[in-house]
Order: sequence, then structure tokens, then C-alpha cells
Amino acid sequence: MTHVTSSPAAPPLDPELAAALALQLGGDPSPIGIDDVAVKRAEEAQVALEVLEQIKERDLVVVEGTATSHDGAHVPVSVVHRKDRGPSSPVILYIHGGGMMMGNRWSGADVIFDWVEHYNAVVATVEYRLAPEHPFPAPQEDCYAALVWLEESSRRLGVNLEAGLVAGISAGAGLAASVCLMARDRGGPRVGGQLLLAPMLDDRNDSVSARQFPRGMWNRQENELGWRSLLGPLHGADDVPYVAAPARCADLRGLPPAFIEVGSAEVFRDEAVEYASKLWAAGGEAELHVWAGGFHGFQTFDHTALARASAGALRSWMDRRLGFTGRA
Amino acid sequence: MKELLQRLGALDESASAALKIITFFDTLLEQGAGIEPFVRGAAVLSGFPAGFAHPVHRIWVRVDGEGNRLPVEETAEAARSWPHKDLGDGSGGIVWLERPGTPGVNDALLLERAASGLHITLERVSPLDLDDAGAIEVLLSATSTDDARRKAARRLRLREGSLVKVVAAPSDAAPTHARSAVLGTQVGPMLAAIVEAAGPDPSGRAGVGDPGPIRELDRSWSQAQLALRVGSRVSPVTHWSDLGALGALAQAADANPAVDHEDLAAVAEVMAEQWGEDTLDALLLTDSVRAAAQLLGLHHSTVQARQAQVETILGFRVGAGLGRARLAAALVLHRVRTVRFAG
Repeated sequence: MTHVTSSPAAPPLDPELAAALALQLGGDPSPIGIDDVAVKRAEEAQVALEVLEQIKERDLVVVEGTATSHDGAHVPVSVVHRKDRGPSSPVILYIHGGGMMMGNRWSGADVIFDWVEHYNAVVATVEYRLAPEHPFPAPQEDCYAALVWLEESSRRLGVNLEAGLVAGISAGAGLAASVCLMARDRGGPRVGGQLLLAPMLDDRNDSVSARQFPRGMWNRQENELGWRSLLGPLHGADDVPYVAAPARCADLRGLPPAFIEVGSAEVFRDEAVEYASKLWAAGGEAELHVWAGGFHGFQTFDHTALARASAGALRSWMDRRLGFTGRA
Repeated sequence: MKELLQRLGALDESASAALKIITFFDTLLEQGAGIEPFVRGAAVLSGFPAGFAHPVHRIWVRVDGEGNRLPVEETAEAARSWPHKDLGDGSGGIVWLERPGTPGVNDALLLERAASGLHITLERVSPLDLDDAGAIEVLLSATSTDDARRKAARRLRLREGSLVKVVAAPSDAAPTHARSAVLGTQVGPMLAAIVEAAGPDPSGRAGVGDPGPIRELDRSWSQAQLALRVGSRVSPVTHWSDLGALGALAQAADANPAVDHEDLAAVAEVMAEQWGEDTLDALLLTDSVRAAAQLLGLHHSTVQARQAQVETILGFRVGAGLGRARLAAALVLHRVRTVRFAG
């Protein structure tokens, strides 16, 4: 235990992002511990109230639904769209991030608003149960239940899931990948694409990029906590199911086309790149963007050139996947 | 790329240009392209701006001859002064080409292919306007397109590549399968259920078609219907596969109502007796009068007397040999001709 290893050399941060980070966080914040989770959740609950206000101000329609998970638990799903949505408006199932332990269905709502306004999309966002109170498979099954609910409700909601997307950020992107694997394995609903933004895929947390970032935004320690919370007694086992950690899936055949993006300066870099490579190897489609000097969550610093480039690439992929360029 | 665009833009007015246009849009369709690529295709192939407006779907797209997006008025009306093509689905959707002056020889073809591709693509990305009953009807109809079948199978959550069969039952039967609906047939309404190939036997009156892939469900459905029609109270569940050549006989008789024979009149005469139908079935299903009596829950002397009566009416022995086959055939033909289902 006394043996100390220095972390390996790591790609530098993009200067503009580094400056923004220094200003916002005032240096190197202490990593999130399990005791911080409750505080974070309370903050996020406040933010959710603001999002609901914005929904009102924007005069959007919200349809509340309830999916039923594998254990009978009720899973809230909110479906958001403009009043003038069209009959072929694309449907997107959005899965929020938060390391499997934090966040709620309104976290990261900026993307929901963006898709609703830009593509006139119908966005469903799912309130999956969180670890550690609800370890694997609760979050995964809840998200899958939301997908099944969407398909079962597709006539009532007037959507076509086959032409739609499953999308997630960070842990939500990991869950989105899991949902696509579950749908494939169980003969469940098919979707037109999976949008994996900085996906959390590998519980082993031992890639070069994981070791390169022991500090910083969503660092290796925090990642360890997230996986430990999700997996409980399974954590560290050799046979963690791939539905929990998609990086463990050897066979990525039969999955929808993926958009995968990650920063070069974050823990998830290598697992994201490997997932894309495995999709290609399996004859599938993936579009991979590794943003030079991007740390985890850099996309939220949307004044920076890197965040703009990332937003542009995402929009371009969505234009092609959904088949039309949305409103400017 | 620029060079390719120039080549596409310079498409001459020959038949080979027409072929290129067709190939181009066919490839977009095959690869599942979205809406915009069809509009962009029309623009870069002609070298002039092209547009697409669909008021119902709230889609407005306009692209210049080099593939750049252009601003577009959110109305279809302005477009009508340009060479244009309506989508032909009564929706007001229109695709147009902003070529000033004399139209190109291939403009009409270009617009036609673009419009047809846009129509099919819109249908692909639109919600299924199908409930379960509608989806069952699509899968059981012989005239459905492959695309419609695929969508219907998705609606019913049938796995691609799974083996399924149809069970037909009288319309007042309690639906015991998730995927079932009452459908009209030529002989009245029936309850049609799509079930897994290895599913258990139905209870109550039913006809079971052969298992097969999803896209052959229409055949299983017509088999199930005929199987139901030739079944009876004594033998309530009929598998098409058990009918063998009698199934072919039933199909032939169904297709040709003129098929007739004096045996049919004789069978009808037996059936007119209150005990007639059960007795004929029991005699066919068993190997002896004693077994037939047991099946019917009667004393064997009663059945023996009825058999004698049956044979008098029919004019041939039914206990064994050719007589049994003759009775079986006559019974199938009689039922195809007479069995009808009430709503």
C-alpha cells in the first residue's frame, strides 16, 4: 500500500477549455465521494425544477408515461415535444448521465431542448433508478423498459421507433449501449441509431486513459465509485455481464449505427475507441470523434471552439441519421 | 468530388442519363437514405436548386445545384410555378426543380424518381398507423408488400426469422393468444391467432396452419381456415399437416364450387339426422364400432345400428378399406361446401 505510482503522461487539455475549467472550478476539485452523492442529487433536483419552468416558458408539450421494469417497478418517462410537431417527427429516447448514481431525467435538458427545437423531435426521457440503492440490473432494466414502453405507446404517441434514436451522455450513454444490446438479445424494439456521448462502458476501469486521469473531471476514482455502486458484489468479478458493462461484449453484431464521441483527455477515451472498433469489426456502423484536449463534459463549455466543433459533428450525424437538416 | 458533381450536372439528354438517374435514386432508396438526400440528388443531378415541401409532415427542404442548403418558404404554393411533381398521396407534398427556361428532357423523370423516393422514405420513417388487429390483417393478407409485413411484424413483436403459424377459431371463441383478431373470411368471421410454431395445441374448435416464416403467414392462414372448416365437434382441432391429400381436396373444392358427386348428397342426408354428424366422425376416427361407441359414450349396439343405417343411405360400407377413404373425402367436400361461421 505504500507503493506510490505517478500517473502516466497524459494528453494536455485544450487551452481554452483549461482556462474555462480553472475559472469555474478554481483548480483541482476533490473527487466526488459517496457522501457527496446526496448533496449532488439535491442540487440536481433544484435544477430539474428550473427545467420544468423552461418547458412552460417554451410552451412545450409534456406527456407523462409509466414504464414497467423487469421487477414490476414503475419507471416514469416524460415525453417532450413542440406543439407543432409533425407526424414524422423523429423520436429520441434520452438517458441522462451521472455516473449511475446521480442525475434525474431533466439533467442535461439542454440537449432535449436542442433536439425538440432543431429537429422538432419527440424526446422521451427516463427516470431510471440509481445506484447504489438500486444496483445492476435496475438502471439497465428501467431504461430498457422505457424503450419497450415507447414502442408499445408508439401508436398513441404517433412515433416510429425504428426511425428514431437511443441517446445518452456519460453513464446514460453506457445505458444507451446496454439498451441496444438488450433489445438485440431479446428481440426487442429496433431503433435507427445509438448516440453515445462520452460513454461509460468498461467496469474494469484499467485502460491507459483510465490510468492517465486519476484527477480531473470524472476521474478514475469517481469512475471506480460509479462502477462499485452499480455492480455491488459483482464489482471486480471476471464475469460481469455485458449488459452492465457493454465493453465486455465480444459480439457487437446486429446493433444500430452508432455515434460515439469522447475527449482525448478523459477516462472513457480508450473504451469509447475500442467500442467503435468492435462495431466496425462486427460489420456495424460507427462514427467516432475523439476531441483533442477535451476532458469529460467539455461539451458544456459551449463557447469554446472544441465544444462547437463537437456540437457541429453531432448535428451533422443526426442530420444524416434522421434524414434532414433541422432548423438553424 | 467536384469532378463527380460536374459529371452528374452535365448529364446529357440521352437514355444513359435516364438510367443514371434511376440508378442514383434506387441506390438512395436501397440504402435507406433520409429525406434530404433525395432533394440534394435532384439538385446536383440537374445543376439547379431543388426543393421539397410537405405541409402535413411540416418538412421544407431546398438545396442548390452544389448541394448547399438554401432558405425555403414554408409553403408549397410558390413552388408550383417551377417544374414540379406532386407526391401523389393526396397530402400536398411537392418536389420541384428551379430550372429557368426550357425544361430539361430528363427533368420529368428526375422529379418523378425523387418524388417516388421521397414518398416511400416518408412512409418508412412515419409512425405505423396500425393496431394489433390491423397488423395481423397485413400479415395474413396475400397482397401485402414486404415493407408492410415487416412493419406489422414489428408491431406484433415477432422476431425476424421466427417460425410461426396461424390458428383459426370461430369468432366467438375466447382469444387465448396475444396476437389474435377477428377477421372476415369468405365463410364468415373467424378468430385468427398468430402463434409460435412450437406452441401448444389450442383448446376448443380450431384449425391450425403449417408453421413457416413470417412472410408466408398468409398461406398458413388459408390452411388454418380450411382446417377449421373441415373439423367438427367430435374432432375439434384439425392440423392442416394431418389432412394430407384431403387438404388438397379441400383446397380444390373451395376454389371450384362446381365440384360435386352423389356421395355428397348422401352425406348431407346422413347429416340431416340429429345423430348423423357425430356418428360419421366417430366411425372415421376409430377402428371399430366398439371404439366409436366409446368415443360417443353410447352402447355399441346403438352405434352398430346407426352404422347400418348410414351404410344404407350412402350405399357403401364405411367400416374399412376404400369405403372409409370415400367417406372421408365426401365429408371434407361436404363441409367445405356447407360449413359457415356466424358473426
